[in-house]
Amino acid sequence: MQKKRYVLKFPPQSGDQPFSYHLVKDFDIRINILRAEVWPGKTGSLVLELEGTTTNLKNGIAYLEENQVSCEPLNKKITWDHVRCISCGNCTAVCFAGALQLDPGKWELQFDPEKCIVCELCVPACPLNLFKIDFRE
Amino acid sequence: MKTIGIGTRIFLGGTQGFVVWPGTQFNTSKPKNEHGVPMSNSATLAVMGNLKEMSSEFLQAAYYEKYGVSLFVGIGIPIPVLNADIAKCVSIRNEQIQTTVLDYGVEGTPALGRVTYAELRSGEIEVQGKKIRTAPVSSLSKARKIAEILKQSILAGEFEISKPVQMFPTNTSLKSLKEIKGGDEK
Ligand code: SF4
Ligand code: SF4
Repeated sequence: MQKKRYVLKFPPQSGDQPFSYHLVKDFDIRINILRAEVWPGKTGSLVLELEGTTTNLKNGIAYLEENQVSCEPLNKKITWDHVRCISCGNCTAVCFAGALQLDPGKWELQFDPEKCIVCELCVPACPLNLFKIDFRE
Repeated sequence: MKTIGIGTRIFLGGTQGFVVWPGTQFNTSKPKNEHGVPMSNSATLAVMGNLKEMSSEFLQAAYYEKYGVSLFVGIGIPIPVLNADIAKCVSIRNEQIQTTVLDYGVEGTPALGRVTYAELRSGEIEVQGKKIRTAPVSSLSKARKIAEILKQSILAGEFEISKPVQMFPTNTSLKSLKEIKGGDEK
């Protein structure tokens, strides 16, 4: 079993196709939707975490691409300069994914990259500008 | 107001500094709650210290999106517990401190309601029936660190608690300037 994150881009007019149903049913892939932007008549985008065997993941992605859905592995990461962080907590108010939290005992900021959906809201929210987007693999 | 005045020695940005004057918008006639705590911003302080002795651990430039530049300054003020009255003041709990929620999205920043510090610390408050997430914006972990440093330096005799040269006036109020539009128009 493997867990991978992908950014999917849908062509307009694909809203009525049950892609996720097929990923689950035909390829036995577990889907976790991290972020979704779908507008009628426009290109939609989804950030998914897919979990399945290597072959199933490969076949599932191939199926999506056959249907004009582009699949890019999510290789953006958020980095946080914890040395300069003063734990003011400003960033926690915008992190709806719950990746940034103040621990209630010491009131120090904790960053859980596992929960981060790279929505980038924390980047402008930090008054000390401590979040950077990292494009390396 | 009982122990802090002009000349009070304080911890400032990693070194020792002094309270030198009332701060901007110093106002002692704001309404107080039953515990004697003002329910919105009230007495503020003007402080002074030697920048060259300060450290970036307690002094950092900050920028707030859509607001502007600011400065994070670590300040610690020792409060000598000289009598029962002062002891009562320093034992006030978060549940007993109230503050006013203001709407900064509207001109004149109207008040939306009152909450206590305990509610704010829980991470969520309710304003006009809506649940709103809260964040400290000032750093509690740094504040505790400063309190500990201050305590240690007082115990070690490196920090002398000083009696103010003069206390602050207790009956001041503000005449605020009226905002008028048009200044920045091109
Ligand atoms: S907003 Fe910046 S300084 Fe404040 S807790 Fe978050 S990362 Fe730290
Ligand atoms: S990008 Fe920032 S705000 Fe968004 S989920 Fe990750 S840590 Fe939270």
